[in-house]
Amino acid sequence: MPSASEAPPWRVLVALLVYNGEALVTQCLRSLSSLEASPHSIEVLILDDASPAPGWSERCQALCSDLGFSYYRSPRNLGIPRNMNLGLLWALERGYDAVVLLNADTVVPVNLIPQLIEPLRGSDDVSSVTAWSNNVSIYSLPTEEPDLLGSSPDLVNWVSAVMEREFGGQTIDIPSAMGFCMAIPSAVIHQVGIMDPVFGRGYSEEIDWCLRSHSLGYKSLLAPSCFVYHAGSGVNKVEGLVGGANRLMSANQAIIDTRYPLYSAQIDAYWASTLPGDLRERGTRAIVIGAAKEQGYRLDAGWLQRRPSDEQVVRFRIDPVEAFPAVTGSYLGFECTLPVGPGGVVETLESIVGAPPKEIRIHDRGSRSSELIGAAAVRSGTQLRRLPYDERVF
Amino acid sequence: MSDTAKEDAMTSAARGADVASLHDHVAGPGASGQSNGLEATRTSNAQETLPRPDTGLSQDLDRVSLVQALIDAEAATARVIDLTERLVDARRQMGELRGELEQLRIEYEQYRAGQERLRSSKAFRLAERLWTIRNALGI
Repeated sequence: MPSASEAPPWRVLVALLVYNGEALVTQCLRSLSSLEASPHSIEVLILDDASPAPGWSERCQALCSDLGFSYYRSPRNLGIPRNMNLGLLWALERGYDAVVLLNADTVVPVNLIPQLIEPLRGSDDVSSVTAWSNNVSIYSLPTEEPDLLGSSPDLVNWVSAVMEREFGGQTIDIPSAMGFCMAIPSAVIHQVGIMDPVFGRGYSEEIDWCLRSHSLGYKSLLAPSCFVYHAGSGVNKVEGLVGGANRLMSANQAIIDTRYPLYSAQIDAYWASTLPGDLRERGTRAIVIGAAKEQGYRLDAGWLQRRPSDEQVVRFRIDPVEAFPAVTGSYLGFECTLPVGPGGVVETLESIVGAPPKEIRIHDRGSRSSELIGAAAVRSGTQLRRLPYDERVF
Repeated sequence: MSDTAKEDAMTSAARGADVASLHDHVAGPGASGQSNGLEATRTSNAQETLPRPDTGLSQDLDRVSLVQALIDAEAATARVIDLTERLVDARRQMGELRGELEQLRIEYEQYRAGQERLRSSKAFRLAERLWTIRNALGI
């Protein structure tokens, strides 16, 4: 098999599954219009699963037309698995090399396609590649402020670019792909088939598909170099498609447990390994430190984990005494912990970020706070603020 | 009728019903009279009230969707047949096990009644007292 760089570019179909959810879908469509194709070619097909919201299908069609996307509305509601199948079958019908199945409650970065497709081109034993996300079950890179990402494609692009620099196309073997954003090569669809409609309205159908592919010798990968914002069951929850203590999810999970008794043990093993923690730690450090390098940062000394009023400011927090020798960094709701070196907090951060803090805020007194006051005094670019109670944000 | 013949008959019935139903959805109620094939759904006078912008694309996707719907219907029918057979078998097994359970219950009741009769007899009570005395005396 030729290496990914030697292989000819692929024709990729992005199949977006839509069911109502106008606000979320509109954002998703706009982000899709900025996709970077090179070296591949991309076509976007919107599969509207007979959305019942009055006028929404017409507006969606008009928006697709403006953005140059193909639009199809099923004559009747199919449910997620069968709507996915339409995308898979269409990829086979029209001779695409790969199909990306995408949920509508996402915001995709510009580097989506190269990062998802390269692992598929580079190996013939991969059945699917899943993008990384703030909300992708046990593989999540969690953030406390997901709405910030959901409302700004630029931030999603920035996070994904940081992840691309950090992981450089690296992939991780995972027990199963996640259907919110997964790339599948057409050659594998020929062998594995399509999603099983027994999963009704959806949930777990992609796990079944992946595990079928694994039984044929394929594997599923996670691409941490590509970060997609995912609201998570956004449309389904709003539309009442899931609910009632998630009966649908547990019923479908029971099918998976019956068909693949070892799957839950594989999930437990993945979760018990150091891999998820290391991956998250590496990802969040790259985000927080990357942002601190670009826009500077603030250092807070205080006892309380205060919720910052502006999450778009890079912030490091440390206890005011020296009992706990670690500093917590946060940006966009992503948090990481860095050990404090022997030189002290400010020197540690300077060595990591390459610059002193723009501002030091003292919320509470203590030995560490005194150290920071001293550090600020010898750094001309660092502003010092001592906050009385009424200025503190709890 | 053999199992295979029954399965074929059910599959054919499902196929006919689905084609007719899907034909109405795809081609609209006005396009009737052709329900025996996939091409029957590809009519030019489709009465769609909802968006169908790219006729070629829509028709092709309708066709792909319809073919898959028919396959899904066949698979669903086969699954129903299989599950029905399993259900019938499970019901039969359940009936047999219930019968066995009732039989064991009756036998147990008979045994328990026999035990009760034995324990309430004069001879048993006398023997029990004798054992109590022997135990007390350590004989």
